[in-house]
Amino acid sequence: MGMFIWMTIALFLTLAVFSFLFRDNVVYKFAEHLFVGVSVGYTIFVSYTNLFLPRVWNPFRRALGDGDVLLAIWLGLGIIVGFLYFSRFSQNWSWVSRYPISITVGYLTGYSIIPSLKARILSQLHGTVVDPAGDSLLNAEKIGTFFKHPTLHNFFFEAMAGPLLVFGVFVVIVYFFFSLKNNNPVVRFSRNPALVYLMVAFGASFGYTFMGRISLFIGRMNFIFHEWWPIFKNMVSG
Amino acid sequence: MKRQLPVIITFIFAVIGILLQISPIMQDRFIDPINSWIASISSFAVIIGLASLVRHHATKIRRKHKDQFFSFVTFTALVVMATVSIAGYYNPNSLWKDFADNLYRHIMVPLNATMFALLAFYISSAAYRAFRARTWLAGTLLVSGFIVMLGRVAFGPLMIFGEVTNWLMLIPNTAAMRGIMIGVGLGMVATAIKIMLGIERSYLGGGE
Amino acid sequence: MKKKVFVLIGCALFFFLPLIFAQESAPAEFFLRDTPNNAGEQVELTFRPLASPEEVPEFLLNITIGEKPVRVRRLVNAGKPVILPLITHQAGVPVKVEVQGVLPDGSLTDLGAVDVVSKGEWLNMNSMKAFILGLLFIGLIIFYVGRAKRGQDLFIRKIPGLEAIDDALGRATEMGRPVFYIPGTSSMADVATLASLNILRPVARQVAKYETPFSVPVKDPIVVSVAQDVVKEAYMAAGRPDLYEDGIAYLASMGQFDYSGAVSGSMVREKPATVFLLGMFYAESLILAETANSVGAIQIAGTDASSQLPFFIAACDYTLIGEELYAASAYMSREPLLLGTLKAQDILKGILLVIFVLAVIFQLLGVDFIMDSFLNPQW
Repeated sequence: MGMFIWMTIALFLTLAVFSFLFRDNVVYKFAEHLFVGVSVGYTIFVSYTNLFLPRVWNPFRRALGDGDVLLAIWLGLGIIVGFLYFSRFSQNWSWVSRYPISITVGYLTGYSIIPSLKARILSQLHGTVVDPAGDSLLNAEKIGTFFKHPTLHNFFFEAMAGPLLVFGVFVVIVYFFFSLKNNNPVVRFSRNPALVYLMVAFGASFGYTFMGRISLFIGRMNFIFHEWWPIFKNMVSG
Repeated sequence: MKRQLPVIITFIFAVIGILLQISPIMQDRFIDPINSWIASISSFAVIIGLASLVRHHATKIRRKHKDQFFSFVTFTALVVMATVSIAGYYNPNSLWKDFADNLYRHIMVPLNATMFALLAFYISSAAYRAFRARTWLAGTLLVSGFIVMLGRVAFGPLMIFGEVTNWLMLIPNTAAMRGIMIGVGLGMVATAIKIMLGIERSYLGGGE
Repeated sequence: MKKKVFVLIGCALFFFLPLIFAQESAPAEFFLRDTPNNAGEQVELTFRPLASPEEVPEFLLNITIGEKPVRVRRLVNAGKPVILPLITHQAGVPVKVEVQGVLPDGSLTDLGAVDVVSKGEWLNMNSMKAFILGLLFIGLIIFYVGRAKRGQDLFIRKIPGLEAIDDALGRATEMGRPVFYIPGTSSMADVATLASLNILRPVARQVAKYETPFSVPVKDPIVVSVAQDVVKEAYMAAGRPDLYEDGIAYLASMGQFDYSGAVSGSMVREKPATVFLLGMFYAESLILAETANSVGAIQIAGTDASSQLPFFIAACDYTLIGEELYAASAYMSREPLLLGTLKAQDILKGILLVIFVLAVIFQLLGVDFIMDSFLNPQW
């Protein structure tokens, strides 16, 4: 019985959210506000048990217990820095909260610079000159393969694949130059091809996700008809 | 004190971030202590965020907004969820824990899943609107989207769409996304350097 | 006579040398080295079988890491070299590997032992090229910011999404409906969030000037406090501190879909005329964009999340693609300092593009030099 009540609550909430597609209504408002409350409550719980306790409080107590004074002072300072955030509750002292913010922003941006340069720029450019096996993307052998066996598959997947990839990356990068005038010959030449590449790519990504999104809806219907309904039927038939 | 010091702190911690990335030994020794500061700041920030949410709903209640009842729903749900979950954490074999699990499994999970499932409808309506656009660019997007949609479920004689889909994902999609990614990488690093050098200070509320 | 002796010795060597070498050529070649560019948490064994699988079908590796008991590992002889990482967890741990060959009859033969002590490195050489590129970038930025400060005019082409912002804000004012600004749904860890907060400032300033109702629902608790500061300063800069209240930027919720549910609800109820969706987004992007469309709002979107760009392109009126988001704050504020950075970014992009084209051409001619020395992140 308990299970049935919980499942029925879940069913009610599912229908409540779907009702938003029709129009905003009281049931949706209820579900929405309940969702916010539950989710924020859960986030508080998770931040306390998965963030504050294991990564701040427990290491601090452990350092105190082990007599590791330097570490304890450092961790204690961290707690004080976090505490500075509370200055936001005061009108006059709220600027103090800039310190924890600048520590977070500074550290996280600094930490992101090298990986961005490595993974987003160098590796990508490198991967556009040679494939993972180390062969040039403009491989004459592959073009030769097409002339030996002239099929559509060989044309698109072997002969033209590398050149089109290299060309595409080039024109898309040029498309995003900000300081070249629109009548610059390189910009003019690459603009339309770049737009075609971009639109084909966006369309393809869109289509690629489409079925996945539809299956989410099917998942909810499965819950109603294959999880809730059998329990309900059992209850009714005794 | 109010402006200069935060900029200097940002710079120092950005340099620390860079050093941790280039020095394995320093990363090994110092990343946990540094992360504990970030974790501490993040946990206290949750309370500030909570205060902002509470103020938002309290204002609705104080102004006798027509939806004030729902703000009470949020408050109640928040307090119940947080209390029950924490009580369940400290008493793992109690009713609290069962209750917390049920709240999670039968309220949070279905709400999450259904909100996510709304995308099935939104992706269809977005596709429909793209369908009505008359420019050749929108047409390109549509044709490629349509082919891939078919290609993902193609069978039998329609397998040609599967082949074309593979090619579209492998060549034009990779090329465009890679081009975007390289540009984004440069933009990201430029923004990070601007912040590090104190050229961009919007995150401190802006101003000079 | 002497000559004969030499010939005899020569002949003897000729016959016996191969035998000597045959005895010395071991069934396998192996060495142990400290894995470079780490903090000493790993060493690696390179093992190259020389005997054929018929002669020695298997090898036994007796691995001793620090004080831990000996671990025996069987290695089937596939005739190919293998590199075996051995985890030491920290620097200064001695590692010893004794190798035995298992002969077809099951008997064992000792092949010797190798050892090494794990050690950490102060510099990760595989990050050095990125580091040098970063230094070059910083240098370019300082140079161009200097030029911009001296008043040199820096040209920036039109970006349609950003040109539309003024009109979109004007429209909201005319209709007397609010403006929503959603600074993405990620935390400060994403540079896109920072980029979005940079755009928030000029938008908020304009909104304050027009006296348009403004709402900035936020998902992340640190972002909310920054957003509040940004909006507050912008209202002061616009000379309208009287219009500012802390509730303009508020925390709508803390989870992905509850946030999108709450913001969708607010959109439907408050009917904004303009919705900005700028920053890092995940799957919720389309929920927000489509709801905004359903209430008739102009949507100006922008993200660097390539997985969400297609949805914004399909559903929104204007979309800032990738790096346009990062260029936006410079573009809108027209501050010379920021424009200088944008110029430096373009110059570096140009340099990289030239290197890329040269690398492609030289690679085609069989010369790897340019690619290996400039584009390969490995040292």
